[in-house]
Amino acid sequence: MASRPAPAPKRPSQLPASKPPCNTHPSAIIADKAQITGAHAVEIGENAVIHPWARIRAEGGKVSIGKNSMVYEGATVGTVDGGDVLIGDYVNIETGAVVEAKSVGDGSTVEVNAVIGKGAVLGKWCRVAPLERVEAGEELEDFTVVYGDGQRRVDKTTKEHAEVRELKKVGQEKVVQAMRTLTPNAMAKWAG
Amino acid sequence: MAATFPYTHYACPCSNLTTPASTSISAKRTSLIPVDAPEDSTFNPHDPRANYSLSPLDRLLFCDECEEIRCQRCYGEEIIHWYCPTCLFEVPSSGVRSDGNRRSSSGEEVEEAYILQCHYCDWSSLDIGVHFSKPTKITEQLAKQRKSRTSGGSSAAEAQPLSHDETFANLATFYKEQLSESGDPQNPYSNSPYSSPNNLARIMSLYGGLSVNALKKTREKPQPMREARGEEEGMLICSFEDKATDDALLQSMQNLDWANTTTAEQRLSAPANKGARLVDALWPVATRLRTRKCRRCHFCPQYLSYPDPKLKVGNLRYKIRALALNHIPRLSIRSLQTSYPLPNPAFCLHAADLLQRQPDIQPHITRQYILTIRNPILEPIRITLATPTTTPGRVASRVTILCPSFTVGPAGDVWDEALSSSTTSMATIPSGNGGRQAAMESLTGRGADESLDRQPEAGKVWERTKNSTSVVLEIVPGALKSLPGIVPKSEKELEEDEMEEGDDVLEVPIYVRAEWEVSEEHDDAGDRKGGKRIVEADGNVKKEMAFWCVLGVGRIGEGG
Repeated sequence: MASRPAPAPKRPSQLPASKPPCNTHPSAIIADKAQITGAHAVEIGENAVIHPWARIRAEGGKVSIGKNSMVYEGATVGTVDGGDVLIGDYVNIETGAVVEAKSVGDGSTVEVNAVIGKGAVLGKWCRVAPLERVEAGEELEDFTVVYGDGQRRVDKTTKEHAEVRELKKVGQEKVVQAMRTLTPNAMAKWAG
Repeated sequence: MAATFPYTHYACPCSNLTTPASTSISAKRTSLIPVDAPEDSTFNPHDPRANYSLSPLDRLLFCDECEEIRCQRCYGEEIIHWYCPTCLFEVPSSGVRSDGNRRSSSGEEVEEAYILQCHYCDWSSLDIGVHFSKPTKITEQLAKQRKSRTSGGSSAAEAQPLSHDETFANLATFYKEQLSESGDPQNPYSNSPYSSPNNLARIMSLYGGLSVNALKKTREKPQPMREARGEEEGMLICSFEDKATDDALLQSMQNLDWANTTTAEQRLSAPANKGARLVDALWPVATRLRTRKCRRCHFCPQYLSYPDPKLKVGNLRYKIRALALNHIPRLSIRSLQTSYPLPNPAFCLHAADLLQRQPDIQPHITRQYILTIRNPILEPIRITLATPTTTPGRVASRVTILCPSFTVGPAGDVWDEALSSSTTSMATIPSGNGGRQAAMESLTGRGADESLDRQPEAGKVWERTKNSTSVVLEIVPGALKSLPGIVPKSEKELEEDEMEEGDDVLEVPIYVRAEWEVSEEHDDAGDRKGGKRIVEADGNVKKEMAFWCVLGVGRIGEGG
C-alpha cells in the first residue's frame, strides 16, 4: 500500500502526506479521485458515497460520515486545525460546500457552495440553502432552514409531519442508490 | 426631447400642429409646398403640444395599407397569448378566462394527497393545512378551500366583520344597481340627437308626452349616482372599536420578529392576502402570467407588429414587423465643419465625457450643416424639402436649403451593388494604384481630384451614395434676447421676451415629400385599396408620401 501525496499524482513525493487511518464500511463507495488527507481517523458509514474530487481533511481532528450520507464533488469536510467533524446519517453535503462544523445532525442538507464555520452545530433535518453561511460556533436548532440572505426559519412541515421525514429518508436512499451505480468504487485504495 | 444633439423627430399625421383651421389629414399631404405660405401651415416645434406628436424614428411604425406613419397613439395593442414566465407553458385564452391570469397547475406528491412545496425553503402548504386531492386545477381547489375557511369563520360569529370577498361582491352589486337606476346608458340612444333618455323624455313632455307612465318618469328627478352607505352595500367600515383583535395582532407582532410580518408586496399579491399582517396568514398565489402583445393600426385592421407566438425560440422573432425605419426616408443632420463622426454616447469611456455638452451655437453666425436623406425602399425616390424661412417660435433663425429638390437612389441588396457594373457612387471603387491616396479615398469616399474644402453651392447636391443623398443647409441662428432698443419696452413686450424652457434649442421643421413609382405588379397596397391608384401609361403607379419632421440642431448660446 503505497501512500499517495494528496494534491496530484504527477508530483514527485518529497513529502508524502500520510493517508489517514480510514475505517470504512464495506458498502460505502469512495471515488478514486476523492481526496482524503490528514493524520486523524476517518470513519465512513454504511452506504455512504464520497464523490470524485470531494475533500476530506482529517488534519485538525477526526471526520466521521454517517449512513446514507453523501459528500459531493468539490465539497470540503473537515478542519485544518479546528477539531472533529461529525456528519450524521442521511446527510447531503453538496457541491463546493465547506463544512467545518462540529456536527451536522441527521437528515440535514448543506447545499451548493454553502459555508459552515468551525465548531458550528447543526441540528437534525436542517437545510442550508446555496451560498449561505453559518458562522463559526453558531448552533442551529433542529429543523432550521437558512435561506435568503441569512434568514432563518423553522421548517414546520418536516417538524410536524413524521411522514414527511420518512419520505425524505426514502428519497435520500434512492438518490444514494443512483449515485452508487454511477460512481466507480476505489475503496481498496483508501481502506485499511 | 432627445438628450444629445443632433436629433431628428418625425411628426405623425395624427398631429394637428400646422396652424390653419383645417384638420383633415389630406390637407397636409397635398402637393402644395408650404414654402409659399409658411406662416399659415408651418409645424411649430416649440408649440407645447408638439411633444405629443413628435417621435424619434425608433418609436414609429408604418401601416402598409394606409401608407402612413403610425405613432404610439395611432396603434393599439392586443394580447396574443399568455404564458407562464417560469416554464413557458402557453395558456390558451379560454383557460385564462376561466382560471384567471394565474398558473393553475403543478404540485408535488405526498402520499395520496398532494401539497405545494417550495424547493428552496421547504415551506409546504401543510403549514397552513392545505392539501389537494389531485395535481391539476390547483387554483380551483385553493379557491374552494379558502372559501370554506372564511365562510366557516363568519358563520360562527355574526359579529365578525364581513370578509373581503363578500364586501367586494356587495359593492359590485350596489354599483350595478346604481348604474341602472340613475344613469345614462350611452348606447341605445347614440343615434338620436338627444344626449340622454332624460332629455328626450323632457322635451317630449313639453309637447304633450306619450303616456302617463312616461310623464311620471320624467317628473321624478333621476337620482345622481351615489356611494355605498352601509355594510350591506359594500362599504368597509374601519372602526376602532374592535380592540381585541387589534391587541392580539399587536401582541403577536411584538413576539414574532420582523421577518414574520408581511411586506406590502405580499399583501398586494392577491385580494385574499389584503388583510394578512403576519406571514402565516398569507394564502398561496399562483404565478402571474405574462403576455405577448401585437400592435394594430387604429384606422385599418392591419397588423403592424406581430411577434412569433412560438415561445421556445431563443430570440423574439416577428411574423410581421412594419417599422417606419423601413418605409420612410430618414433624415439626419450634422455640421459641415466637423467632418469627423460625433462621439456616440454609447462608446464613451469616461463618465465625464457623457456629461460634456456640445458647445453652444453662437447666434448671428452663419453655419452650414449637411442634411442626409436615406432611402430604405427599393425604388429611387424624388425628394422635395421645404422649410419656413425663419424657424417658428420665439427665437427666429434663418434657414436656407441650398438644394431643395433631388433624388435618392434605391436601397438594394448587397448583391445588387456587387453585380452592377456601373457605379453612381463615389464611395465604391477607389481608383488608383493602391497607394496612400487610394486608401484615403476609400476612407473618405471622395474622388482623387476633390479637395476637402470644396464650397457648398446652391442647387447642387453635396454628396451622393447608393441610397442616400446629402445636401447643405445654411442656418443663421437667431439671438436669444432681442437687442435693446431706444424705446423702453412695454410690459407686454417684456413678457414676450421671457424665455421659456426649450426656446434656446434650435429646431428646424422640415416638410419632406417623397415621390416614387412602383411597377404595377409590385404594388400591394393598390390591390387592397381597390383600384384607387392611377396607372400610368408605362405600367407604373405613382406614389407619394409626405410628413413633417423636426431637426434638433443644437442649443443657442448667449453672446453675439
